[in-house]
Amino acid sequence: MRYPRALNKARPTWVNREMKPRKASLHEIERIYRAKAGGFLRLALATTGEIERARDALQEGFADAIRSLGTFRGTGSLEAWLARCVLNAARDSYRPTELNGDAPSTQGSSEPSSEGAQAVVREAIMQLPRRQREAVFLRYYLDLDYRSIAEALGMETGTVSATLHAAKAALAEVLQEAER
Amino acid sequence: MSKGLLNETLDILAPTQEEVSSWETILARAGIEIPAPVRRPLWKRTWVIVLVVLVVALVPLAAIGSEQGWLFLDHGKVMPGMPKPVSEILEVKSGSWSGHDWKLAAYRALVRRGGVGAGIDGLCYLLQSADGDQGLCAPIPPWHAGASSESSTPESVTYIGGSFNNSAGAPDKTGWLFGMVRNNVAEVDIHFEDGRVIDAPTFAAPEALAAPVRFYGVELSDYRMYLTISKLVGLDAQGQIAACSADPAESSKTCS
Repeated sequence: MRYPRALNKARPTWVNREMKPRKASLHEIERIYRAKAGGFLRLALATTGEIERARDALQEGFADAIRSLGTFRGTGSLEAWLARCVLNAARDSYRPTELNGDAPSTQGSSEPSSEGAQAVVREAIMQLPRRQREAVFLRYYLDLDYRSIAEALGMETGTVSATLHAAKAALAEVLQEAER
Repeated sequence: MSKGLLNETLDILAPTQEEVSSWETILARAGIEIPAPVRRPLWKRTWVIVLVVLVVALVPLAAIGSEQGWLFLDHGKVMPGMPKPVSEILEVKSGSWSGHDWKLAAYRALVRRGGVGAGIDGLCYLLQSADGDQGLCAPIPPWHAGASSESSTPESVTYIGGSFNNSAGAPDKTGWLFGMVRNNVAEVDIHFEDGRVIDAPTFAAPEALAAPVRFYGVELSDYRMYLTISKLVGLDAQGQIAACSADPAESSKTCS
């Protein structure tokens, strides 16, 4: 796809990810979208709990990223930055009805007892602290590495492993309690 | 906590979706107007396509046509087996013998020695009559060049011979002999096995043929009397031998 020059201006490529910040281009965003839109949509769906909201959050997240292209610092992963945009849009989409910031209800959450262990785990996931929950989502739906998860959630890379470990431990505990 | 259980749960929580918003929807939401691609005017693109098709089609066609002589270079129909003309088929002379009309025609052609190899510049001539065409082709060089050493080559004086048919389609007695010779030959002496000699004056070739040759032709009142030609000797205006066709292996058929 051909874009206006201002949106697609050649940017210096980074030789060293740590040392050479770079600007993203619309082409790069398009490439990521075409490759992983499904994963981003699942991230939004898990966050919002409703498919239409998820679609809206996906569109809004990427649209916002495009509009804010100039603010991408280029010191991290573009994919992580896009995930952050989608997560922000997804959170915004349920804020009006979830004013306390807790997890949204999910599509299948109305009948948890009929789904046994999976229903318990699902409920447990949604009850996790937001950062733990979103770390799990980013890891599973987008297959992001720890560094990218950290960038997307605005945390230190070293804490991602602990966050994910804590999430799994909490889920295991919930599951064990359910089995008793 | 089983990893499989967690994965299954996450799949259920947010199953894979078949339908995802198009990239164009995202752009529109972002307020990005995608300029229409700069397209060349239709006539220009059509012209290019037509040109490409023509080139692709005509290159092999021209090669085949040139090789087989049916394209571009075909200036007329000639009898099967004769090289295709590369010039107009020109009338050299016409006449009527014993009630049989005839026309001697000639044209330029690429001639292969022995029917093989690359074609070289040559001439073909043919006698056209109600009975059909008969013709012969020969390369132009070197036999017309005038060197004395070439005067005894078989191609120095060429000929075709035959007879006309009667109304029933059977050969009648009227025979004919035509030939081509270098342009300094004024007369061709046709020697037969039985010792008889017929003198045939030469006549000029059409200028458009652009070849240094002359032609000759005679009527044979009874062709059966002249079955075997011994040799053909071309004499110049001074009566000197300027061309000759004889079998050099037989000393009795030398041109001297």
